[in-house]
Amino acid sequence: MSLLSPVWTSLLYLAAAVFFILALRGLSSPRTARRGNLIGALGALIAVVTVFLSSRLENIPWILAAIAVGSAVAAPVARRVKMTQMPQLVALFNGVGGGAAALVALLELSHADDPWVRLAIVFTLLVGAVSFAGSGVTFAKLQELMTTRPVVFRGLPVVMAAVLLAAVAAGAGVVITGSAVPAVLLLVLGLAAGVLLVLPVGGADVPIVISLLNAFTGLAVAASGVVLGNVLLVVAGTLVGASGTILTRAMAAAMGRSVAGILFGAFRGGSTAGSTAVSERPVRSSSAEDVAVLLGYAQRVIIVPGYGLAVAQGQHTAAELAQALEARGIDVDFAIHPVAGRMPGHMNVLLAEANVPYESLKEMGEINPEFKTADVALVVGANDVVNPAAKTSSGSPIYGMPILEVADARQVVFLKRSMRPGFAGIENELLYEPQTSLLFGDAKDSLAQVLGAVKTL
Amino acid sequence: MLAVALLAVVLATANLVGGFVVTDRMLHMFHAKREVGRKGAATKEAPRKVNGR
Repeated sequence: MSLLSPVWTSLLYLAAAVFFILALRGLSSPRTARRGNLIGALGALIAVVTVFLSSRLENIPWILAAIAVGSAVAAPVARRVKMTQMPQLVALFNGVGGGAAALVALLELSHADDPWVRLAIVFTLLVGAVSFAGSGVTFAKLQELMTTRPVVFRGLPVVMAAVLLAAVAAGAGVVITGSAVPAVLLLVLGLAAGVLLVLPVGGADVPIVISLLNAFTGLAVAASGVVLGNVLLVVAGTLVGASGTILTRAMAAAMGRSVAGILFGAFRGGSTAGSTAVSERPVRSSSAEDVAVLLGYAQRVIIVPGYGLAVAQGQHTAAELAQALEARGIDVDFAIHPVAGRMPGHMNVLLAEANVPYESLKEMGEINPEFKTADVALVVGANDVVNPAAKTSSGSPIYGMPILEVADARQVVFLKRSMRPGFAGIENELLYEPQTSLLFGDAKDSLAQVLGAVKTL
Repeated sequence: MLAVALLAVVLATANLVGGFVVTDRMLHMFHAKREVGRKGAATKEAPRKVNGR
């Protein structure tokens, strides 16, 4: 049914685009972020309804059923997933977006005679497939369905170059012939490239790859808008692509590295990926009571949360401990490294869930000078983001990444599960320093014990 | 053909609906300090947006 005239269709698309931009504006401040997200959802709803009312669609019952299935799967998962599993879910949702764009491009090939439209199809197919497969591998890594360490093999750059060259050839085939055979080949090559792109990435680089793949999905969607001749898709895809690119660059800058360095660093590094070996060197291990005394008689405590806190679901206990210390008149802040955890903003979300006010979450640039005046830096389940190897050891895979300067604090306490190195698999020299003590155990249990001991002081 | 097209619709819907719901759930958790009179400057931090749509 085409109930809407082209003019009305354009006006509604324009309204949706304005809603998307207002949504981004709202999302830039915590006070208005939730409303911003709802405005974005409303824009998307307007866009979908406009498509139904403005174009001659076939198979409408089937389409509605597919929408129902997609919503029925995604909404409950999104609502119920544990906060700690949020990064992999975000990766997955992002990946299916890229996959959808690639499938649309594949189907549109049969009625694309213009070589420029075919070129847009080639781009959508390739980038969408890379985003889909790359997000899939990221999901598998974060869900620990496969090793979380960088996977590097000899000749990886050569294989990657061969895949990309073959993709260019297949793409040329699609533009010239318009045939489905090279298009399917291109899709397969794109999937392979996505896998190869993410395999060598590990540790603190994972959040950046999630952000990068998000940008890829945006670009694929924008290109699919060119394929379908839909301006709103171009606008929405470009917004996602641009904001994803800005976030990726900002995060890479926060690590003191270039995006290319992150993607291709592991290609070159090879053996620097680190080991899983447990060190035998002596450390000062301490009891929950000792840690409670250190904290309870401090004036200023800075808590550094990491992925271990998320895994142990210890965010509520951490928040309680912070409250108990504040009740004793102690100044407590949380130091958030830009790439702590496994997705952008992971720690912020986790601690917000535990009712830590966002004013207490301090970003790296703001908190780093304050470690000098801190009596205790309490590192909970973090490793790579406080590892001085990033400053001192030029051969280290994390060399050049700015870290939280916990070594400046008078005392450093690590709550760790074991002496196993972090996600990046690099030994942390700070663990062996004289001002450092360690409390071994699950982050949540350790925090609960320390909290109990603080209350009895 | 129809099956592939419907798969694309399912995937796109999952991306759209899932993205908005997940974002809403995460943003729901952010709130400002409730009690008054605690020292320390209130610096506002934007929660990072994790999925553009």
